[in-house]
Amino acid sequence: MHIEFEQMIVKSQGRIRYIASRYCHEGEFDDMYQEILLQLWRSFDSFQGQASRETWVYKVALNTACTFVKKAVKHKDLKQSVSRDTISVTEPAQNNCQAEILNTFMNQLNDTDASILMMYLDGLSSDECAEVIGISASAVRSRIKRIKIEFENQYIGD
Amino acid sequence: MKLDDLKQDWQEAVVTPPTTDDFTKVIAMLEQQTTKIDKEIKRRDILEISIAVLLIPVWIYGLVNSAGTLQSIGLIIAILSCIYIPYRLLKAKKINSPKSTSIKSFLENEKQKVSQQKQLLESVATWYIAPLTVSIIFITLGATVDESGMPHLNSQLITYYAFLSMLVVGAYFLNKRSAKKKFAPLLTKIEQRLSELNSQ
Repeated sequence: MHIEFEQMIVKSQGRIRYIASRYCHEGEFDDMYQEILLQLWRSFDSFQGQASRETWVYKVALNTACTFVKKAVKHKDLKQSVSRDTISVTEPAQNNCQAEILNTFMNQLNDTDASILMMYLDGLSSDECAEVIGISASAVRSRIKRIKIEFENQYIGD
Repeated sequence: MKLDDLKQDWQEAVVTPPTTDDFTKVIAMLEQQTTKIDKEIKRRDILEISIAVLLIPVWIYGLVNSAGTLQSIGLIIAILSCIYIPYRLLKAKKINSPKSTSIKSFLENEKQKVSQQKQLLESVATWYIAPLTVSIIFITLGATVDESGMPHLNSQLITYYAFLSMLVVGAYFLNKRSAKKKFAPLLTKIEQRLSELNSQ
């Protein structure tokens, strides 16, 4: 179980980091990141063979992020370990202009649309997005269409 | 520039691990943390139930040797409270929303859970404070009854009731404050997300 989990985290850490940075308030990144890792670990049993890895990671990470409340008592040991061993950058790298444009645009969207856009860009189908969000695939498609129009209106000709 | 033009960049950014660190230590820590959390939950539940269960024989013993009707009523209320309070606490904890369900159903479950916990704290006066206070007053006052069944208040008892009142008022407002500070913002956040999900 440890090896499978480790492989899954290695493959998905970019997504997890992005979700944590999109949904956290200032100074909460580490706490939210470790809470998502903890919840992924706690529900790893339910993942085994039930869904695709991406949809499962999105479900757990987004559900954790959208109900995250900073705890008064932090998981101190875990925090130290995560910070020391895995977090060399606390925010996703924004090393190019396109990433910055995307970040700015995503920050303008509400949480639901931002989640849908994240999954769309990640290559998830409308059905998979619908499974994660809990709305119909046609509703996902119409939201994606609206998001695309909004994006093109803002960045057309750039 | 179109949104689809950024798809590849995005996928490269999220799929490529930003670090190549070993996760073994993190996983060991996660495992330790999970065990710790589970143990804490178990210990808290056991503590809540065992205090109530241990007190019941004490109240029954008191009831058998009761000084009078007033004290008996107080002891009966105390016994019923010791059964009802843990039941309410455990019932409120029962709703479990697995994190691996869809966001919508997870939020609906969370809304129900948080509303119930908020309501539990807001109504703490009716199910926790009032029965315990009434039973304490009846038990202590019942101990002072004379042969005609009339209770007699003395200065010690009055001081005790004054402290009890302050404690009760303090506990009531602390719970109210906790409901407002802890659960109200989370409930608003959940409702906001649900309305976002339901709007087209």
